[in-house]
Amino acid sequence: MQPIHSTFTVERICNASLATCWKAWTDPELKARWFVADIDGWETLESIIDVRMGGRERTAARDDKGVVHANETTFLNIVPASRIAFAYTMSMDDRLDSASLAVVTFEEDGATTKLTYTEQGAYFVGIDGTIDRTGGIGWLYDKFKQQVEQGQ
Amino acid sequence: MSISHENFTIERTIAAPPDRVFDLWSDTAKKRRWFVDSDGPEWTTLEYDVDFRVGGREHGRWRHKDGSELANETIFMDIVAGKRIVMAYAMMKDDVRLSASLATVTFAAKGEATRMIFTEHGAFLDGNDDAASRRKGMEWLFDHLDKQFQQSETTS
Repeated sequence: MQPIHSTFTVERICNASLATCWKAWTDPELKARWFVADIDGWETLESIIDVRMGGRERTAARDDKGVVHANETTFLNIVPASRIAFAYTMSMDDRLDSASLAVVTFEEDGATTKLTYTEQGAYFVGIDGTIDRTGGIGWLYDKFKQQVEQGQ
Repeated sequence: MSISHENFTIERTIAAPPDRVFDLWSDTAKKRRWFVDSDGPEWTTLEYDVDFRVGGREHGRWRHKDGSELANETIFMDIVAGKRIVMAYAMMKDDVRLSASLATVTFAAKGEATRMIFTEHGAFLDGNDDAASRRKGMEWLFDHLDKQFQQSETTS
């Protein structure tokens, strides 16, 4: 079966400094707060955050139906306080769901910082996951925005 | 800082069954022939290693006769024998990052032959590279992949 390929972008303007936003994305403890799913009934199985060139991340959680959702990330390009490029896969119960290239850029504009997240994805389960994924990433960056606007 | 997000697909029909085409990616000696040894005389291979398994890495470094060096770092993200390979890779020229990419390649039987479809999702960085030249480079490699097969067919 051929994968379905598509691209989407999510933007957030955060009332926070570039330094705060960069730290929230790259500090393992701060990143885990917005990145690791905190959903009622879900159990976190693994949470390895490692934002550096060549670093690999893995997070896994079991949902309320017993399905294990896992994320594997590898970093391809990091320019401090400017951009992060990474590739990642999502799988459910060890079945590959998607593989994506994502780039997030950070631009300071006065007292605010604009994050632009662009994902080019390949979906392997026969349905175009772009809408769900856009929603999921949007939800994560809402949490990110809320966190940095609290100064963390 | 600029980033160009571009996708491209290359489709080839290769006169061999999927398992044998997949071998040209999974077997290091076979892959080296089209992926590394296809380089012209202006290139010298400095390093080339492959660890073909999920989570494994591939690394290559080549020197052009003008003194510049090109390097490739790949990580294999998903492998289904005879069917699919998903990999992430970055290209560098000297110390300059050219690109970050996600590539998928699928192999499907088409009669006696294989339909091989390669799709690259690329972020081309700071105007240092672009999808058109990357595509040209991949077409060159796949010409050699195809040729290697024709050679092995005629010698077997």
